[in-house]
Amino acid sequence: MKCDYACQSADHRIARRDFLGTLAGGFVVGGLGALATPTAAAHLKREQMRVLVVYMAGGLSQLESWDPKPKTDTGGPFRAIPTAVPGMHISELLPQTAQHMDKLSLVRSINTRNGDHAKGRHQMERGRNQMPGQEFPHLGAVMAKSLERADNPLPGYIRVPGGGRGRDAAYLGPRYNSIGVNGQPPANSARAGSLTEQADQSRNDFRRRLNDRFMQQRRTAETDVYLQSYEQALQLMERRDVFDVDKEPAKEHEKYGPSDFGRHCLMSRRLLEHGIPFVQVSHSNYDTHNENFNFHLEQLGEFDQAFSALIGDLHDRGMLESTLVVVMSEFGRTPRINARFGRDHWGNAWSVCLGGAGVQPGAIIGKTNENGTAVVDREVNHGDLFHTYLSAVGLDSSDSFDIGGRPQPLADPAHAPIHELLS
Amino acid sequence: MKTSLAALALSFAFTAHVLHAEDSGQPLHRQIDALMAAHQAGPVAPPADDAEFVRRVYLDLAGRIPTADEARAFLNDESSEKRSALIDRLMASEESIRHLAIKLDLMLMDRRGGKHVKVDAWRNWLEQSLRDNRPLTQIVADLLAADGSDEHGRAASTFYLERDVEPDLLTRDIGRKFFGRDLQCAQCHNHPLIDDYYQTDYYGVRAFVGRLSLFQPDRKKPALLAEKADGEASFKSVFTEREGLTGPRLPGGEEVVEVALAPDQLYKVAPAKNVRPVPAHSRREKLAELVAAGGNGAFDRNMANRLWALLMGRGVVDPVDLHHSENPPVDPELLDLLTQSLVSMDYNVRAFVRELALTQAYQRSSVLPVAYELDVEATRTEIAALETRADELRKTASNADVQAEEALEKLDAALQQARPLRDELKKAADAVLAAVKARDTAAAKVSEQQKTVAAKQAIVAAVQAAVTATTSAGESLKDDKELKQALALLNGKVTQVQGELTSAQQALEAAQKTTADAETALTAARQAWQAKSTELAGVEEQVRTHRAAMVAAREKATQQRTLAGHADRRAAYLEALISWKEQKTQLVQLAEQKTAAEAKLATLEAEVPPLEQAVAAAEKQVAQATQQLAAAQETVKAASGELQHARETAALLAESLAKAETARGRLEAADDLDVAVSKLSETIQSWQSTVSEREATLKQATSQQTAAESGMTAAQTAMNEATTALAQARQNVDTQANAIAELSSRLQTTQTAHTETWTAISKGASERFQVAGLIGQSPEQLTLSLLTATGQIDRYRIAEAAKYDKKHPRKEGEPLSDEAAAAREAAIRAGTDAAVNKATASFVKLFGNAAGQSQDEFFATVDQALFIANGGEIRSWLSGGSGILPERLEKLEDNAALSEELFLAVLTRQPTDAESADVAAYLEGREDDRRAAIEEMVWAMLSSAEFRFRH
Repeated sequence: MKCDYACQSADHRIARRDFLGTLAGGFVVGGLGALATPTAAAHLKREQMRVLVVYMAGGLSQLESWDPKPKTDTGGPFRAIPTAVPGMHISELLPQTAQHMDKLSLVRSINTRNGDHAKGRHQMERGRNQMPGQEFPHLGAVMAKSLERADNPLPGYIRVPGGGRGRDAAYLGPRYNSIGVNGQPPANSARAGSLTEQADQSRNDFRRRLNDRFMQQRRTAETDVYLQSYEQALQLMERRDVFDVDKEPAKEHEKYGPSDFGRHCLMSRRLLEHGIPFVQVSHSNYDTHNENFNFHLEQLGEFDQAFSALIGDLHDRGMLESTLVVVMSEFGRTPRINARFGRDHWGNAWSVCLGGAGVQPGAIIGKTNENGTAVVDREVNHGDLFHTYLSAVGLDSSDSFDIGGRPQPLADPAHAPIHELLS
Repeated sequence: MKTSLAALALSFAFTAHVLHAEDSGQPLHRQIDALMAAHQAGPVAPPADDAEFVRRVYLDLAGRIPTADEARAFLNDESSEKRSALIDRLMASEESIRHLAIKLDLMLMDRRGGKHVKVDAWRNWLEQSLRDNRPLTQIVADLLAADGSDEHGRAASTFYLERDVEPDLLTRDIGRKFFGRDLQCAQCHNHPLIDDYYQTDYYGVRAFVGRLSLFQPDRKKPALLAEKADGEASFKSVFTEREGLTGPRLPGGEEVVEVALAPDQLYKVAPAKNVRPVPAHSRREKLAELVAAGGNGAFDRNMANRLWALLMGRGVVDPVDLHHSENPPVDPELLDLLTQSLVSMDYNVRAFVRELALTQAYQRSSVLPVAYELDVEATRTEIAALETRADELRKTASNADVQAEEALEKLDAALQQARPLRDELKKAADAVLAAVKARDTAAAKVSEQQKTVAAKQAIVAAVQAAVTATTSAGESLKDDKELKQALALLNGKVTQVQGELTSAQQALEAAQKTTADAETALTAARQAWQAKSTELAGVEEQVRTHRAAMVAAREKATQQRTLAGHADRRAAYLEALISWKEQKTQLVQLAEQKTAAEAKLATLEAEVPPLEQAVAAAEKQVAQATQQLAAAQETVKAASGELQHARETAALLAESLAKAETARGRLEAADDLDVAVSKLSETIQSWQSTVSEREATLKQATSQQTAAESGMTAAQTAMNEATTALAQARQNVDTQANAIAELSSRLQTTQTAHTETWTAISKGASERFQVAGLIGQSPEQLTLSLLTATGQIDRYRIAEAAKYDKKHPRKEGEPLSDEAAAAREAAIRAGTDAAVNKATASFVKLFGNAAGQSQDEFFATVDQALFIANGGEIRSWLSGGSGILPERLEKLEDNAALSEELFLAVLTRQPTDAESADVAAYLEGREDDRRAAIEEMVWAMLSSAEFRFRH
């Protein structure tokens, strides 16, 4: 017989009772379709979870951020400074973030063996290598589906900044595609001027009456989802303000700084507060083949103020316990400094900063050598990290989604979470 | 018993390809009806009514809802053949061809397209293929043969080019789309979740397309396919490290036998920079050829199943691209019948679809009755037979596994044996190529030397001609010194050039010899290669034999397990049918028990109040007795006190008397004393009688007390009895209430189980096509249906007609020839289609899944709802233009007429009375903005579930 490495049992005959059970469960359209039914408690816990990814586009230098190597041939001009965690040092470019490191952790031993932007982005956002002929969902889509709440009409996966609907949910379906927002409410969320609120209500009541009659005899999971979408649309129309960052008071804007990124971080906080399960905010651009140090000085200045304000706020509001925060890039940057004072693409030994939710605070996972040219301890890659993100919000990363009768693993089955990072 | 079980098992769909002889002369839809009637179990929906049917058949065959007029015409038609007539009319329409072409496009391309080949050209090609009733095998073969180069084949190359000729993507989609097997997860290892999908299957398909690539050196020119002549499909499992190698092989088929071509004869056009290589033997063409030839079971089953799903909303195997044993067909016999019929109908899509539309299964109502007849005993017998059958099938499958495993071992050994030979052959091929190169170099040298020799010969001839001329001149001018000198010089030259000629000729000979040697070496190399090739071919023959044995065994195991899986599922379904009935009986029984128990409870409860009264009365009695007893005791106490007092007084008096008598004895005369004594005596007597009286009184009091005491005891006893009786009665009530609670909870549990069982049954019934499914309209259908319902489509047509007539003016009253009328009609249709396509684009964006993803799964999102609610399109379709639905409705003054037109136009049915009343109520008080009210109602209907879903 074949397949003894993956099968659950030697006998593939479907147990009659199990099958009846499956039948009785009916089929799931949208919603949580993970194969294994989670316990109610785990489900409840998960329902409150949120994820924020801060994407440092172009490739943040680990040496100018999470894994400084001062006074070495690769270290560059900046010092390392102590943080709120005794013994943990990060670059002096992140003085305010350093004060919050007791809430965050570092993984310093990432080796993704890749130096291509598109491939790196795919690895980090989807937890797998690009494969010809295969499409995998973005972390945001996986989270949006897994952390979906029936009572929340807002979209599950939002990109800041951005516009329109993304096509990044792959087999999870368009329901979980990203929505790009830019401080403006979503398209068509305002009632047309010619239609009064009362008329809108009447016509919706008329619609509901028609539906009630039709559904009396022909109700399916799909008709439910369809009807629900209209109710959610009405709720969203009521809550358009969630997307309007200008509703935040001026002092909040001040705290996050005058940069676009500051505004985007504030926007992200606003979205997370309103129960959106996944937000990805991007900061551009760290692809510093030239003048790496000047660029990082400037960029990380913006980042440090906004990011530390965000972490502080999440912490103060008690949201960090239920919000996973990850600062990632497509890769790091070469230890070698090139002739133009730049650093180039480098996937062999770099870092990610993460915290909140189920991530143990103040930890450092893995280690690079003296001058950062190689991982010397606890090598991990994008697959392991992806599992870790899922586990950190209470999901079983070895679960599969059931997509129209097809099992699709949440994460690459060849990898596993970094268990020691999880509390 | 045994034989009857076996017979039963046979009758239930286990044996493949059993066609009942008496049915085979019947049209396919009758055969399907007969088969499904024989297999149906549990609830079955009645036939759809005319309204439901006409809406469904328009949506499925024309891609839109019918107009109000079309619906009315059909509903009013009294012909008994009107359904089949409508099906035939729709099937013959251009609308149907357009719609089916869209369906095929989505099925084949998943909304990929437009990058290399124009979508219109591709759709037109599909439409033409359908119009010409080309067999599906031919259509697919065209897709697979296309290389983009032929102008006519360009549209067909969409399949390859729009996937950027990516071999793994092509492998996956060829597997899924044409053979119903999504082998994707078998790319890196045998499929982790599906037992029947092997890595070797994946690479068998990949071998056909692994040598293809996108060829587009100049971005401004159209991309083409390039194909190389080398590159083998070798693989290694990332789990087990097992290595393999396979030649091209269709799923379930045998490995293609390829004649080894000499290493220098592999190409028609050899690869070079910016040159599109064309191999002498094309695996791509071979793939097309195999598909065109027909006879691949997986292909046939897949196509029959996909066409069934196209009309019925789900496949007999569903998902349609996961044919394997854990996902068995709901009715294997039905799938067999469909498959054989598709083949015997020469893969004619439209003829096949037409038959499906005529089936009872297609024409059922979408409302499943919550009831069914069931012969429980027969069903239990069938379940037992199914279980036995499943066990037997699994046993056969296990035997086949063993055979497959044995064949695999032999295959591995043969592959092992072939490996060094392959390396050697490669070396021999390299040697041939090197020898060819050496020969060519030598030959080039020969021709170069030949040129040198020829040149030298020309020089020699020229110089000799000069000598001759000079000699004859010298004879004329005998003493000319200069001439003599020239002659001498020329003669010298002759010697020199002849010398050069000689050495050139020698060099030529040497080169010719080298060439001959190289030729000999080449011949030797070719022979060596040929020998190796023959040797390898021998081993490869073994490889193929073992692989064929392995594949055959695996296919058999899969087939047996598939049938076993079907038996399991059918048995589970039948058990659910029994459970539901049993639960229903239980529910009735429990309800009866509960009613009885509740009646008893009422009786018991009625017993309590009198008992409570009895207790109260007894309590009163006890209180009275207590009071009486206390009074009696008081009386006794008083009497006893008085008696005591009297006795003491009497005693005192007696003592006094005694003392007085003693004193008188001492005194002689003491009259006074006598008097005193006698008085005392009298007094004593009086007191003694008092004592007696009081004794009597006490006695009476005591006896009264005794009476009171016994009265008290009696009252207490009565009280105890009453209390006990009450407690008992109350306990009875409690016990009964508990029993009822227990019954309620059992009722609840049974009710829940009953509902769950029904969910399972209704799912099972809809999977078995015993009720018509609800299917979300595709973005294309939705757009066209919205345009039809609102009446906008007529405006498109009118605009196109006007456009055409303006371009082709004709005199008033001038009749159109048939030809001209057809041309005009075609132009209007094309223009309207283009306008519809344009309108469709924004719907596709919102209501369609991303390119490359499944387009069959329904989904509903908030932004779709927002678009329908607030978007400009729907708003303008409801408000703009003359002749549109809201305008038509506005003109109808009678509410009933308005209601009817509204419902027919949007929902293809008459309104119910309640609905008409609803419409009237909506319009009430809206006299001032009646049009707005109408638009609101139309909007509500367009956004209703009844509109959104084909049902």
